Amino acid sequence: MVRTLSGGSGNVPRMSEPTRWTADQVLAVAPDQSSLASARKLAGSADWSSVGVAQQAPVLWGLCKGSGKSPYQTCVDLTEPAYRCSCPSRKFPCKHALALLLKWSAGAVPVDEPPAWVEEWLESRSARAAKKAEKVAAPRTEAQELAAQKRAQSRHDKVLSGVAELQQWLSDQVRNGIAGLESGGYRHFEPVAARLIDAQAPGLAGAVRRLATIPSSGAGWEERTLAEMSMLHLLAGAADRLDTLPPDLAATVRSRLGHPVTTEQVLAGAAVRDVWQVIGTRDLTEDRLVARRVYLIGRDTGREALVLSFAAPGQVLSADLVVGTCLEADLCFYPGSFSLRALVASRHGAPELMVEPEGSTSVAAALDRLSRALGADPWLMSLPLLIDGVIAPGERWHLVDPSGDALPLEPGVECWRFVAAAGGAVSKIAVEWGPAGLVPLTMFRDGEVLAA
Amino acid sequence: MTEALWPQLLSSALVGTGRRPCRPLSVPGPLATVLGEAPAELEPPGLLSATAALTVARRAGAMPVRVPVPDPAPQETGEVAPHKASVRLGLLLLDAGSDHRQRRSLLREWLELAQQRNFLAAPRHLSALVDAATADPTLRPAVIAVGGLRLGWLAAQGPGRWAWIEQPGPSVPDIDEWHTGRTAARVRYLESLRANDPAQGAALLAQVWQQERAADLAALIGACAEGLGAEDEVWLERALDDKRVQIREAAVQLLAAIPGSAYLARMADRALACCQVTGSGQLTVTPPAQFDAAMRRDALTQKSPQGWGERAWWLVQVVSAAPLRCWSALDSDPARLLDYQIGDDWAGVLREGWLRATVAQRDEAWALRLCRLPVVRGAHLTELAAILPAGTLAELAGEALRQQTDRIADLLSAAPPPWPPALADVVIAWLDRSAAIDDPGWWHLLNVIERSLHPAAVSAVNEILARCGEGRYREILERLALTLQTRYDMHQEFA
Repeated sequence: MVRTLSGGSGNVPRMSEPTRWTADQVLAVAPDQSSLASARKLAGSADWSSVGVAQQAPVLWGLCKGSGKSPYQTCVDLTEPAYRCSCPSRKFPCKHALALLLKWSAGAVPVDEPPAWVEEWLESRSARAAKKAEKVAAPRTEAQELAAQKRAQSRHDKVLSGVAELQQWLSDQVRNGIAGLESGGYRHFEPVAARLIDAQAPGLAGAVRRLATIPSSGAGWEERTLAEMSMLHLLAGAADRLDTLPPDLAATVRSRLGHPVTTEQVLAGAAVRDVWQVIGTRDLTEDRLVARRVYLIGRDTGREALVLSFAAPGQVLSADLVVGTCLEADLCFYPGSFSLRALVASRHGAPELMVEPEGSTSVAAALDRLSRALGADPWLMSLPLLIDGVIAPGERWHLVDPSGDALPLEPGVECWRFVAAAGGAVSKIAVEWGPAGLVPLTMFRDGEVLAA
Repeated sequence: MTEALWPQLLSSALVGTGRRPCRPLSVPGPLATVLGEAPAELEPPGLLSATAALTVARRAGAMPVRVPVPDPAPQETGEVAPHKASVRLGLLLLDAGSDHRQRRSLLREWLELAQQRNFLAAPRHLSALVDAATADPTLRPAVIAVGGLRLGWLAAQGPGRWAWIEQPGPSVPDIDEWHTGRTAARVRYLESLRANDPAQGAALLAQVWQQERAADLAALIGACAEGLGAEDEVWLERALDDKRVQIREAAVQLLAAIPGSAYLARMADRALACCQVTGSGQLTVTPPAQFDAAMRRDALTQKSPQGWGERAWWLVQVVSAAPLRCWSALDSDPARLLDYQIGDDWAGVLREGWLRATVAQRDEAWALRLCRLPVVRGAHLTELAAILPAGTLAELAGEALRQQTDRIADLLSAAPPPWPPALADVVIAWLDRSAAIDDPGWWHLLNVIERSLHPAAVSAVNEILARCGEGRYREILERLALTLQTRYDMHQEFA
C-alpha cells in the first residue's frame, strides 16, 4: 500500500509514521556545508527511486542513481539516528542520506513496506547492539580487578606529585606577582602543563592551558586570571585530601583532575529515565580536537544533562541528538557531586519533534538553580539554562526576562538572529552559563527552533 | 562585604606578596570559617584560598542586573512569504562553501520574486539578509523591501550599525546641512536646490568656491548635474581656468552633457583634425603632435598610463570625448567609418576611442556596428551590447550563436533576464547542437544561461539531456537542468 501524505502531519496518529523533522533539524545533522549543498541539489533531482518511510519502524530508505551502474542504497534509522549508504563517501551522514532526510522533511516520501535490503540492515544492527550489551554486562575477573586497583594506585601517586608541583607553581606566581603574565605568553605556562600531562593529570593540564589564554583576553584579565588560579589552587588542595572528601565530591575532583572514567563504569550506574529534551548544542575546538556539547533537560525531572562527543579535524562529529527533538531514554550520569555529563544508555522509541521545551524559568529561578549547582561543584564551568526572556543588544548584551531581571552575555557575544526573529517578544531561550557570561544556544518560538 | 576584600587580594597578587604582603583588615563572617580567625598576613596559599572562596561566592551568589526590556517590534502589516518559499530562503542564506556565485544569484532572484509579489522575508532570516546586503550593496533595496517594519525596528536596536537601513534624512534637506554637514549631506542639499532653482544653486556654489577643498568642490560641481542647462556653461567654462585638475575634470563632465557646448565643439575640432579621408573608404590618422595648454584646460591628461604611447593616449582621449555626431563631416553614415581602411598602426587606438565614446554617449547605431566587429570582445562587448534594445540584442545573439563564435557569453550577459522568447528559443536550439563543444569558456556561458533563461525552459533542457550521451557535455547540461529546476521550484513556491 502506498499513500502520499498530506501536508499537515498534526492529525496523523502517533504510531502511523515517525514525526517528520523540520529542514533546520536536517541541516543540524549535516557533517559540513558542502555535503549540505550537494544534498540540497540531490533532494530535488530525479535520481531517486523506491523511496519510502516505514509505517511501524522509524526508517527511511531510497535508491539514488550514482555514477555507477547500480543505484546507491540509502537508509536512515531515525531512532539514533543511524545512517547507511552504499556510496563510497566517508562522511556520515553522506549527501544521499541527507538528501533523503530533506525529501522526507518536505513531505515527499510516501509510507511503504521496507524492502528486503533495509530489513537486513536493521537486523544486523540490532544483532551488533546485543553483542555490545553482552560485553558491557560481563563482570571482570578477580585478577583483572586486582590489576586495575594497582594501576589506579600508581596513577594516583603520580598525580599527587604533579599536584604538589602545581601548588608550588601557583604560590610562586602570587609571591612574584601576576602583573607580568600579560607579556609572558604561553611559554610561561607550558612547562607546568607538560609536567601535569606526565603526571597523568590531563584535566589539570587542560585547566593550566586555559589559564594561559586569559592574560591576553583583554580588559579585566587580572581579575579573571587570579580567579581561575584560585580555583586551580582549590582543586589541587582537594586532590591532596581526596580520601577525606565525601565520595561524590571526590568523584568530581577526580574527573576535574582528568581521571578516566570508562563507558562501562558510567553505564553501570543508575539510569535516569525521562523524556529528554535536546535544547542546544555548541562546538568548541580545544587541543586540535573539536568537542560537541549537546545539552538536554529532562521534561519531568527538570534535570540538566550534557552529552559530549569529540572529533579530530576533518572527522565528522556525532549528530545523533537533534536540537528541537525530545526522546524518551535512560541516561547514565558520570559520577560526581553535581553530575552534568551523561551517556545515553538506552532509547525508548524514536525522537519526537518538540514544539516548545518544558521547564523554562525566570532569570531569578535560573540563578537559583545555578547557585545550587555551584554549591555542589564549585569548579563548574558550564551549565545549560532555559529562560523565558528577550535578548537585549547593547554595549554589553543581556538576556532579560519580563520582570526586568537580566544576565549579561559573554563579552563579545552577539546574537542578532534571535533579536530579529523575536522582535522583542518573550521566547524560550536556551543558553550556556559560564563564569564570563551567557552564550545563547537556541531560541524556541512559534513552533520554530532557531540555532544561534 | 566581599567587595572590600577582593581589591586587597588582587593588588597583592598583582605585584606579588613578596613586595606587597596581604593583610586583610577584616574578614567577613562566613569567610572566617575558610580562612581561620583573621590571620595577620596571608601567605600565597592563604591568599589563593581566600580568593577561591570569594570567586565561588561571587559566581554562586550572582544577582540579576536590571536592564530595560526592549520595546516590542511594531505589528507587521505585510504578509510573510509562503512556508516553502521561506524554507528555500533559509537554505539560500546558509553559508554553504560551494558555488558562492550561484547561490548569490539565486538569492537575488528570490528577493526579486518576493518583492514583485509583495511578500516579506520571515523575521528569522532578517539578520542573515542584513549581513548579505551589508557585504553586497546591490542587494540593499530588495532587502529593505522584503524586510517589512521589523527591519527598521532591528536597525533601531543597533543604532549606527546598519546606516543603510535607517531612513535617510528629511526629504527636503535643511540649509544647516549646507553650512555644517559632511560633504555627502551638502551634495544632497545642493542637488535639491538645483532641482528647484538651478540659478540659485549655481550662485550658492559661487559663494563658497574660494574656500572649498578641491575634492569637496569637485563633488559639489558634480551635484550641479541636477538641473543642468545651457546657462551653466559660463561658470563651467570659468572653472576650466582653475589650476586644480579635479575641478577641471568635474567641469568637463558637465560640459560634455550640455548639447552644443563650446567644449564639445572644441573636442570635435580636435578629433576631426586627426582624421582625414584619403580616397574611398580610406582614412589617414594623424594623432596630436603636441600637448598644448588648451588641451590641458579641457582636462585632457598629458602623461599616458602604462602600456600606452603618449600620442596614442592623447588621440584616444580626444576621440572618446568628441560627440559621435561630428563624424558625419567625414561620412554621411558615420558609423560606417568603422569599416574604413585605416593606415598606420592607429586603427586600434581610433576604434578604442570610438568605443569609449559609444559607451559614454549610449549611441545605438555605433554600438550595433561595434558589436559586429570580431575584434570587440570581453567586457567591452558586454558594455556595448547593454546599449542595444532587447530585440536587437536577441537578433545579434542569434547571429553569434549560429556562427558558433566564442563571443556568445559576452553578448548574452548583456541581455537582461528574463530573456524574450525569441532569444530563449535560439539559445535552446543551440544547446541542442553543441554537444561536441568542450572548452573552458563554457562555464562562464553556463553561468549566464542558467541565471537568465526562463526557468520553464527546464523541460526543453531535460529533453536535450535525454538525447545526450555520456561525457563532459552531459555534465554541463545536467548542471544547467538542475539549476533551472531549482529556479522553477523557487518560482512555484511563491505561487
